Amino acid sequence: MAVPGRGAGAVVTSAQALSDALWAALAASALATVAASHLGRPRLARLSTLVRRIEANRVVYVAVLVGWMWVGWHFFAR
Amino acid sequence: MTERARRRATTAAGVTVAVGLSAWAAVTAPFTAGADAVTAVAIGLVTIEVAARWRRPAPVPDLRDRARGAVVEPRWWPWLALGAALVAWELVCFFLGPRVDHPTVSSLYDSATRWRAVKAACFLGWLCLGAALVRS
Repeated sequence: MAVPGRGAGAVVTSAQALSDALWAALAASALATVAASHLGRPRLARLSTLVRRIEANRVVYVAVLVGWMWVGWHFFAR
Repeated sequence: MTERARRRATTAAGVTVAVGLSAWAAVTAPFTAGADAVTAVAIGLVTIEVAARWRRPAPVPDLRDRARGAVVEPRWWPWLALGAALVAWELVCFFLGPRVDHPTVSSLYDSATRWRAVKAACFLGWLCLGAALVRS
């Protein structure tokens, strides 16, 4: 992925490699968690279950909604 | 119209609106009125839906099932651990710098969304998260 400062043919440092590997591992973990939660007789809560749990507490629910709004504004508008 | 047909129509309308907004978002640039507008429309739609459902009692787990031991409650802490790991690494990258060595999610996003399809997919993913928050 082309992050500013990383031109084609640039030497990849160990810090860059470690950082990229960690991001990739986190992304893979997120996908694996989603997949595991949808397997038959899941032992892991689905995202929808987590949302219901959050929704049960109105303060936390509003905080999560505001967080969702901030993420959208930060990435897409600003 | 039956309840099932009404649900299908609502879902189809929601998907159409989400895809349309994502396509619109893909052709906008940050810090423009267009980008502000498409994001505000999405936030507004979710806010209206939340307000409409606000009086509905909050869902509670079925304690009878739990008391009978009929249902083993699925674990939710792995989600918490994953979220904590993401936030922790984001903070490390943010404070450690430079971006070239430790890119944050924002810098990864900025470089990935040079492609409009990626930007549309990101916007659609964000909308899906919003829908999940109001559809439970």
